Parts: sequence; structure tokens; C-alpha cells
Amino acid sequence: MQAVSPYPGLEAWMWRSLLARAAVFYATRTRLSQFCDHVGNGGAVEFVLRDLELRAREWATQDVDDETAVIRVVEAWDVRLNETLGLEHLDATARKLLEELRVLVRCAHGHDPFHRIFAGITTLASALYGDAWRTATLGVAHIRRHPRGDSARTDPYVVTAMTPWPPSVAEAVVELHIHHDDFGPAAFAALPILLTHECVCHVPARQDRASNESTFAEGLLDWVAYVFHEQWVGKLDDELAPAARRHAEALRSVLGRRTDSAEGRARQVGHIAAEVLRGWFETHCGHGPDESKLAVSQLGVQLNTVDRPLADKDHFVSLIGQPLPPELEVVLHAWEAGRAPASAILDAIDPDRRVRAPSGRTA
Amino acid sequence: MSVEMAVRRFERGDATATEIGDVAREVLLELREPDSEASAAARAAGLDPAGLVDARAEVTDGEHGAEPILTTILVGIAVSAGSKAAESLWKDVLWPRIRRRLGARALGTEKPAERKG
Repeated sequence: MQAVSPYPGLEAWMWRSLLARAAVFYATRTRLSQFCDHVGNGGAVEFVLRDLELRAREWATQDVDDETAVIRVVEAWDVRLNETLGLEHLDATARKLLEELRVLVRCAHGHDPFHRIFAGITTLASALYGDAWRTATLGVAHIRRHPRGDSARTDPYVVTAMTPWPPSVAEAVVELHIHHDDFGPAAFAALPILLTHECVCHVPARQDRASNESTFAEGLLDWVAYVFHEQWVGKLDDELAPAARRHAEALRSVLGRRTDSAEGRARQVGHIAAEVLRGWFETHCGHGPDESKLAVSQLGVQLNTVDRPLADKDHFVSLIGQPLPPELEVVLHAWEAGRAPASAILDAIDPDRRVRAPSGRTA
Repeated sequence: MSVEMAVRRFERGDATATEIGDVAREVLLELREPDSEASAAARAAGLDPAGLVDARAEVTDGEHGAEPILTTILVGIAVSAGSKAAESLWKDVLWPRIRRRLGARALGTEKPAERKG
């Protein structure tokens, strides 16, 4: 049976090659963090990862179905693992890891792990957004270079995601863009946060346009996405959760260093605003740290579904500082007490609508 | 009668004009095979593959530049079936195959289109 890609953005051989590696990373997900650490250190484990890439390519064009291809890749890789374990001078922790990988990888199968993760996240995001949720479908495409132009050695997250704008009224497409050649365990472990970002920030968004420089959509809401990722990933897959959490934070750190671009600055501004707002809920509403984190997240989610120009939402973020403007504090108190909808916050800071704000202040 | 060429201008992506042009021409050749995947995609888009046999694709650099990343790529599609057919040929048949072969970032963002006779 010729390989058939379920994703129009991937050639059949490329799909098969990605699937085989992702299937191995999924099967070994309880050791994914250690796998990544050893790969980063070079040596025998990096060598067996490169061998996995070669085996995956070798079987990508063979005339078998996906399930058989994955099994054949695993069989071939197992031979290499066994040979490597036979090396006399092998670090004890690397040896232990390789022995564990050998056992775990026997469970690998051809079921699409990208879709499995995506389906779990969309179920949780759909419950969060309720009626505002748009049905989301997953696309996977390849890119020929690292998404940030970096080396995979310094930034192993060779995958990114996007939601083309505008979506249809009821449906959105989330696309993973993967740099095929360097797709490794760290990139796999980062998939949940990337897909959570798309599902929390963009799939249900009601606004006039998309902007990667939006302090709301790519900044404050990205912070919110991390909050939900933290909550969801254990429900999604408790065996993948430790690696997913760790690599979500590592990716956050990588992206957080990129303040030399408008996108990076928007992210930074939005994250800082979210923390300031969190502090405001603690100080002014008597919430604990976790409760105020959830309050910011709920507010972000509600604002995301208010059908207003993105500029209005960015304006809201721009006003979050210490101290908050008095008219914003009044309406935030009203929102927190359940006396005002999230849209009232945008009204209150819009000079043309301020008169309609629940506070009745016209400032 | 000269066939109007619809020209689209893109920011440069990961692929060169030569690579994109090569794939576009391969796909146009595929359209001559009624059973090919490209012909099926054309039919699905409401195009008659037989009406696309004279289609041409010209992909060139928009300008020379010491910093190629700042230059543009021009994609010209000429088809006697008209400009709407040319647009659909690009959007539904050529670009999805170029994207699949050369990657999702083969071309950058599209800029306002131009036309030449």
C-alpha cells in the first residue's frame, strides 16, 4: 500500500517520516524529558536519534501501510539501540535511558499522534468557550527552515502553529508547520502548548483582523494559554504531561528572549500586563495567587469572544499598568462581581462609548 | 490574440523563483493527464483541465537585491479561459502543490496584484 498523507500540506513520504518519529516519541513520552536532555548533550543518545531519522526516511517510501511502517521503523531502530547498548564505554544514565526506550517503543503504533493531541485540546477548549467555540480542524504542513531561523541545537522547537484569518463563522483551521529534517523529541513535547495557544487565543476569537503584533491576541492571551495548558495537559495525557510542561516553559523562555521583533515585544507587553492584572485582582479583590490567575484567564477568554476591533483589545492591554486608570478599576470591580460583562470593560475605556459604561462615569 | 497574464506579487519566502517555477510547470504538465491528481483538483475547483492545456506559468524575481530576503517574487499565470480561471488555477491547483512540495513558507505574504497584457 502506497503511503497516503492525511494532510494536504505534506507529501506522502514526508508524512510517513514524521509519523514514524512522532509515534516513537509518543510511545516513549514518559522518558521524553530525559531523551531531550541526552540528545542535547550529544553522544550515544543523539546518535540513536539520528538513526531513528534515517530509519523513518528509509521506510517513508515503502509500499506498506502506516501501521506496518511504524512497526518496521521500530524494529530497525531497536537493532540500533541494542548495538548501542553493547558499547563498552556508555554513560550509565544513557544506558538506563536506552534500555527504557527499548521497552517503551514496543508500544508504538501508526495512529496519528498529532491529531490525538489536537483532538484532546479542542475538546477542552470547546468546553471552555462554549457557544463561542468554532469547530477546528488540524492541518500539518512542512517548512524548509527552522521557524525562527535558528539552529535546532540551540532552539530544538522546530515547529510552529498558525490559524489562518479570517476563519469561517463556524469553523477554523489550525496548522502545524514542522521543519521536517530536525523534528525531534523536544519539538514533539512542545506540540500541546502550541496547539493550546491556537485554540485559546485564535480559534474562537471575534475580532476584525489578525495581527502577530497584537499585545492582546499574542501577548495577554498567550499568557492565558499557558495557564490553561498547565491545567489541561494532565487531563490530556498524564504520561506526556511532565515533558509537555517542561518544554512549554522552555519554549516560553526561547520566545521570551526574542524582544528584537514587534511580535516578541507584543508578547512581552501582554505577559507583563497579565501579571499586573493578576496582582490587581490579588490586591483589590482579595483573591489568592491562583484565583487571580484564573480571574485574568477568564477575563481574557471573555474579551476574546467580544466582537470588537482588535485595536480596542490592544488598547485595554495598553492601559494596564500601576496604577490602573480609575474608570478601568471601576468596571473591573463590576466585572469581577458579576455585574458587568467583559464588553463593558472595552466600552468603559472607549471614549465614544464610555457614557454607556456600567460605572456611569464619563471621565 | 494575446492571453492576459495575471501577475501576483509575493514577499520572498523559503523557495527561489526557479524552484517555484519548476514545480508550477510540472503541475501544468500533469494537467494534460486526465487521471492525474492535479486534473482531479482542477475539476473539483470547477475548472475543465482540457481548457487549461495552454496555461503558462512564469515565476520571476521582482527585483534584484543585495539582500534577497527583501525582494519579491512575481507569479504570472496566463490561461485563455480567463482571469477567474487563472485565479482558481493558482489558488486551487498550483499553490497547494507548490506548498506541499516546497513548504508552507515557500512564498511570503501576497502583495497587491498587478496585471500585464
